[in-house]
Amino acid sequence: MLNLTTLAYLDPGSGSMLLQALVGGAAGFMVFARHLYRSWKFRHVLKSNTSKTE
Amino acid sequence: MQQSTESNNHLDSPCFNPGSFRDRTGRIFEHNGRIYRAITEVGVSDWAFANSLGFVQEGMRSGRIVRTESELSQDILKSVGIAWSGVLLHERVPVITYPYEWSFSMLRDAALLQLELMQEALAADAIFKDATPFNIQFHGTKPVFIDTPSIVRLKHGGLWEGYRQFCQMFLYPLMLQAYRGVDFQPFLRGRLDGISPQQFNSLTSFRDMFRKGVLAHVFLHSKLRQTQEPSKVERTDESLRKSGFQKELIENNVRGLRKLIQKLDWNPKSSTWSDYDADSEPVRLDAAAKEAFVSEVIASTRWKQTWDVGCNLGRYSRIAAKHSDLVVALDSDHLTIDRLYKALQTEDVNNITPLVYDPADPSPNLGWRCLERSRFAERGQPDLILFLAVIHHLVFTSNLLLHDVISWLAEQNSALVIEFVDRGDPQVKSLLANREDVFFDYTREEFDAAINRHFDIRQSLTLSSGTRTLLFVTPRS
Repeated sequence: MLNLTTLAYLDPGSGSMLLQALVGGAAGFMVFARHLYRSWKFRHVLKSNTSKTE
Repeated sequence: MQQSTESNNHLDSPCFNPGSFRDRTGRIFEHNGRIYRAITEVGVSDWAFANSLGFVQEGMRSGRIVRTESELSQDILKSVGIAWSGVLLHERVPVITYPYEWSFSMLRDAALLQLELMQEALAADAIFKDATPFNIQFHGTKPVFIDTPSIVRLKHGGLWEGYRQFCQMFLYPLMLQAYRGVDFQPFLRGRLDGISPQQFNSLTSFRDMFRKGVLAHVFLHSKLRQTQEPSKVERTDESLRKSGFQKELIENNVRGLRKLIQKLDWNPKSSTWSDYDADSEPVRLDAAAKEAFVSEVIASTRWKQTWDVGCNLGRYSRIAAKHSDLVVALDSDHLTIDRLYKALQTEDVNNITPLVYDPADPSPNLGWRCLERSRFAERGQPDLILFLAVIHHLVFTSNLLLHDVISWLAEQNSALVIEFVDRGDPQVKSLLANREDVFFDYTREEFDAAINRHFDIRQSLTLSSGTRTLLFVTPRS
């Protein structure tokens, strides 16, 4: 996993990170939408993998 | 990160500034009156990068960024210990001040400097890793950025780690003042991390939702923060990077914030003291003689640091500025200080720093171990204090004991110009108009006794109104 925050000492907050996409203009909305899709996909995959192993 | 005000005259074990610890790549210490910063290997690499940037060089030349150079003395480097790989030498800032001592326009100018530097950094593929007003100080009325290790390389797809901090420490306090008319200083003094999105969202009204910036930076910010739970699969920053997050989004955000903050305005018609100089009759009657007395004392020598306590619109601060290296103009009235700050920016005066300061409720020691942010008296050492027509307010309004106020002045170990306002003065009568007079200690005799206990009287003058006396005194030798 690439660590983007090795030099940072602040916790940027996940909500604040997402907002940075939303206030970044139209391109930011697309980034936000893709992030939501990735999150949904990961959750879906994780859920189906868990049910297969049960 | 703040510069040190504590002395450290030996090299064996540098005494790091107790407020300089959050960023582990560097710590401030003082040696022989100079301000140094010990930096780690990462800090050395970051500084080499930052120092190579055109905007940093230009910023140091123009005074927007504190002048900084690598310290080459091996003695200094050895003294800081093996944990550190380098030492930087910073230009000393005349007086360390904190955002809860600034006026609205000072905090706004500091915010605009932070954003301006951010824009220049982003253009050079760099970024500031934090965004706190404690990284900004004032040279007179000019903000200067002092935390050079904040400037680091921007990684591809990286986010602005300091965005939330910027909102909490700059944007929300400014909005609170501009949109709600509520003084921000008690909020910043009460919580050193500033106002959280949730807290500030609770402070806004439905109408505020239609004001510029509130819907996104406040409402959405607070809601997104509440609904976000840590992902078990992927970090949010990594997901955003893989979703196409780019530098341009930060640039758009910073540009928007800059426009928003430029338009924030706080300009009430008046406050208790904002028109004091113009309205008060005794002040008008005595003005010429008082000015002559104070001017003569001020011009008698060169002062290193003058405090003008209860400076009002800065009449005497301006006189003191001609004969002082630095004047700290102090008044508890926020609007008065804000107007003075704005007026000084249009004048050719660069050695007056106005601050919102109440002697009866001064900035205390705050933060981790109560050492992170020091009380005001530890950050400055005046050699002249102007205390003109202040003492009756401290006694009658703040309920301080007269002899305590004189003892406090004596503790500053400084020359003093003090104006005593007699009980017969209209100002005192007005202060007592609606209350019982329990201030038996407020008499000329008590005043003289307290002064004589601590000071030698050099000059005195009873003003023509007959109710006001000026004294120039020095600490008892």
